Amino acid sequence: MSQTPDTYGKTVCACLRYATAKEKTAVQAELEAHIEDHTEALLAAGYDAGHAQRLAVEAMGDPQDVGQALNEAFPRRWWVLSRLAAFALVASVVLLVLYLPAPIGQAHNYYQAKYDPMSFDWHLDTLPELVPLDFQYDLPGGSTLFLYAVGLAEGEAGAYTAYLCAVDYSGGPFQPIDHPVQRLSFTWETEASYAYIPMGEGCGCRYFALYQLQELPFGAHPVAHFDYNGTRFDAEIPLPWEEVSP
Amino acid sequence: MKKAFFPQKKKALLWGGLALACLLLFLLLRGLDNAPSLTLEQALREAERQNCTAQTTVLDTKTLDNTTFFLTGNQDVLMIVPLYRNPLVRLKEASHASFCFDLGAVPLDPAQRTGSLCGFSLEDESHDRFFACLLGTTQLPEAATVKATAALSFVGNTAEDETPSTLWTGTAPVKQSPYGYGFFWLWTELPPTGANDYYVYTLTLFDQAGNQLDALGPRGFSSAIRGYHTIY
Repeated sequence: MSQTPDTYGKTVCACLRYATAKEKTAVQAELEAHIEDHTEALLAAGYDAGHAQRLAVEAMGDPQDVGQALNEAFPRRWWVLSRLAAFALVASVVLLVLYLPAPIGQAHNYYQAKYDPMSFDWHLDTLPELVPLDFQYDLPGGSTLFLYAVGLAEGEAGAYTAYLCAVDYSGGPFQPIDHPVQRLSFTWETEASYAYIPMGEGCGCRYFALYQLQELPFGAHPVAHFDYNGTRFDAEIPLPWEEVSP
Repeated sequence: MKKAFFPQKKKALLWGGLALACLLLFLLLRGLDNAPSLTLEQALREAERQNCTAQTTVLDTKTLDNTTFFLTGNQDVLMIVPLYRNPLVRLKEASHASFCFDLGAVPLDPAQRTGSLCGFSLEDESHDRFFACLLGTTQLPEAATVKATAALSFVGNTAEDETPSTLWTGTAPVKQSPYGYGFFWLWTELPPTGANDYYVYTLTLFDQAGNQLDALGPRGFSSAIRGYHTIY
């Protein structure tokens, strides 16, 4: 019984064990196009439509033989490997997408510390209005210590609390440091030295620290002292006394 | 219209290549802030950078299992920097100094007379073993040896209680650094402490003739740093 181009193509594709549905569709379309071209040539030579199509299909050969030969173009190992590669691609993309926020966040944290520390949110209701400072110190190894803002709040019994904001950051967004910003001490009015454990927030490459200097008398000018692994400096902190009344 | 199909081989190679690229990118991002140090030079420079100190010089070494600890210092700090014998462990572990001791730190004991005598301990958690590392410096030029003792005490122990018995005694030479101070370090393995126990160390300096120069109990240390390190 003669076959139509459609049945011929399906018989051939049924022999392709490791071809995908798309590939079988493409192979079938290729075969039908070839039969169609041959049919048109026979029609142009004077054959009638039915006879031309039958001759064109017969000229393609036995569909089982053609299918077996074509099956060798779709070996099982590449079918397996392509599926493994697809799984590996999905897994690696998921891994990348899940991990990507970490370095992006770290880069953001670093550049905030370096270029816009005033934008850091302390989530502290008692924090007064901050006045920018500009005390920057370069540390060995490429790190920087930056005293970037100070604020003043009136407390009880005529005492005041100064809030000093400081940050340290390393030479790059992915270089951790030991956070020397936590090593500041302060003196004012007397020889006594006050060392605080500041509240702070940080990651490997930067650390924000907030020092609260309490019970300051009106008009005091505290001095910040830094002495860490061979780097030493003192800085008198200009407090905004004009913002508060005595 | 003829449609071209994408052979399985090309798909496998393309997707496999993309998967490898994604994995390499992940490893690159992961390694950005966990940069390993493959050589001693890299490890030293990284330790100096992280601790914001000037360049140091290796003063002494100590090997425990598959880890070599390098005592390195300058006029301001002493650091202990580990380097693992296994290159794969070097790749896996981010580089950092086990300890960094600021020689300018204020002494806990105001009566301390030797200037910068100090000490700390090192514990290894991974093998449930405890190693005491006593590191000190002295400004006394005549100091030649140091004797250290370790005794086990417990939280809440007072001067009226029974004096803890000595568990270990060790001696070490005092070596001169190129920075104007003498240094020493002693290592010993001690039994791990419980939740309420801790070791009390006493250091005594002697000159060449064996005369005692100075002695310090735990309050005489310039700083007490406790740290943990994994030894492979």
